[in-house]
Amino acid sequence: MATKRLITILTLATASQALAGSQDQARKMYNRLAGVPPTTQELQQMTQKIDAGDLKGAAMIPIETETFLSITVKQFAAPMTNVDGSLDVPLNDMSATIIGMVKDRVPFDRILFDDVLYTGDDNYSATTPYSTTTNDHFARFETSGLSYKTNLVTRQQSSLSGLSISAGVMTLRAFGDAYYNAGTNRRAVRYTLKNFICRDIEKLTDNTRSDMFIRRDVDRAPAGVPATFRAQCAGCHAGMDPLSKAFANFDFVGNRITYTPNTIPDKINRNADVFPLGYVTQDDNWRNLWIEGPNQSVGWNGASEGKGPVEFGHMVAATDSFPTCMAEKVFQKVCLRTPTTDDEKSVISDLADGFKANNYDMKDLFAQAATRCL
Amino acid sequence: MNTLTIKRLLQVNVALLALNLLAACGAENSRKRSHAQAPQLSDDQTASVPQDTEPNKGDDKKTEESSETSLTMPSAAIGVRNFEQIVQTFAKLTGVSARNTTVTTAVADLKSSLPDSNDMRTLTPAKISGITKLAATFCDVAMADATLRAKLYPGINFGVGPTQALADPKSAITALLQNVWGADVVSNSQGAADIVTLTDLLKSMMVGKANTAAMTANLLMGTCAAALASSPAITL
Repeated sequence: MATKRLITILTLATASQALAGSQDQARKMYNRLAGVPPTTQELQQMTQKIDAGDLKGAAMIPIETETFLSITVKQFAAPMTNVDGSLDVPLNDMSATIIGMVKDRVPFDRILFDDVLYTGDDNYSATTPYSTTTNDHFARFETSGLSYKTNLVTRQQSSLSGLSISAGVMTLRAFGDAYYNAGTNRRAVRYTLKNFICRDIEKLTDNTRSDMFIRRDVDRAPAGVPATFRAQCAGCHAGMDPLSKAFANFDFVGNRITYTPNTIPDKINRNADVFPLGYVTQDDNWRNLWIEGPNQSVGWNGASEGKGPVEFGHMVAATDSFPTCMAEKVFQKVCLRTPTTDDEKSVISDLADGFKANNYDMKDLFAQAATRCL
Repeated sequence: MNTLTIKRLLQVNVALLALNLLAACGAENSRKRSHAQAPQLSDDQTASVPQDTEPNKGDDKKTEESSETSLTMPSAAIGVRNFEQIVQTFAKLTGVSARNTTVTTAVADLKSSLPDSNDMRTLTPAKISGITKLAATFCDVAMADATLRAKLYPGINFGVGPTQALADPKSAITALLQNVWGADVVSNSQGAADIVTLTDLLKSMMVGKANTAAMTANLLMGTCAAALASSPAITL
């Protein structure tokens, strides 16, 4: 009798502990994916799914909430839209388009080459129209209380941008403001690679590449020492300069992107007297010299040369590093840490493979990441 | 809300944060162990060995944890909500719109005092102070709205003074914490201790105060802010 009672108590205790475990897991999963705590009902639904072994089903409950888009995905997108990588920037056309593509499960590799833009719906646009010269449409959308789920809609970018080219986010105003504004458009290469294959320029340094495409504004003997150029400057410029030709026809003037297909803006070939024998950009035919050498590890699968940003975007999106980078970013967002151990790197590899196999579905990637670390 | 009350709330919140963070770490370890026993989980979800999430643990502890079969690798044990997550969380928990003008003014004033990342190490005393002030703003607005305050404190008669309205302070606090933190959080042992802490806070704030309906609302605003700015609500 006493033994029976003891078994009953132990069984109840174990059941209670398992319930507490799945409730804790559900609460944490909801918090990390939606950014806010669950309601009692949401917690109950998730707990039931976890107890039934349906972890992904549990993760999809917070993923289908408004705050998944308005907080989590917005904060995933925002750092990519500015040089500082800040979260604290207003919604803009680039972050809205990233949010929209995640929301509608548009294959996310298209972010780098598609003719796509997300804006407020027709009713909202009637009062606050999209503009190629201001960010008001998006900044006001963010503070208006409108729903990202229902009021953020897809558009044909080319019908609104006034440009004769559409290369995903790379031809959107926020991207132009951050990466074509002044400078020499090398920023467009650096931050596209940093944001979409998780390799900042220092990580891509390779001193073994030919310097034949390095422009005239780069000193070949800094402080009078030619070896410094070869050892330091060429490591980045040798690969970056021939890639940056993809953006040779872009500028950001008068608060808007300008694209001049037959004209190279003066800024691209400026400071010609620094090294007059350097490369002169005359068109937007780019080449990737990093397909050989240590940067083969990027996993370049597409063409190694092409014309303009659309083909450049296809090349970046086709790398092995693109799905891996997205998996790392989502893992950091959901799991609140950078993957460092062998186990974590193995999880990233699994997530990247699944992301690619599942047609680059970002919602699925968020759900899978949550099931692997929470 | 006077300075003394804010100071008192901060003291209570720091204590609650410390207690709850300790409890959260304990719960995380407990969860890992309970998951190791869950029989219904598929093999592909059990692939990885848990890693140590505490940097200063010894090697012996690592070996012990690695020997367990875990559901998945553990996430960072705990993080703090960043400014936007805090604002939206307070809005969801109190029912006060994040677009309420009093709230938007407070957010604009306090933004630099709110956490800018999910990294727990960024939760400095200045950030805790900012969070507490923002919580007080949300609770102030909620207490002025009969529907919202009735949801936070069901059954409380806001038309009478604290002697009658708060004759059973523990019930009021328990209902509040269940609404703000969740019944599952309140039902654990740490939740029970927190109920005692906040009930004591409420009792001490009642001493020597006028027995008016306005005072009832003021006192419950204080406990609302303490609950809202505590770790079960601001961590993730």
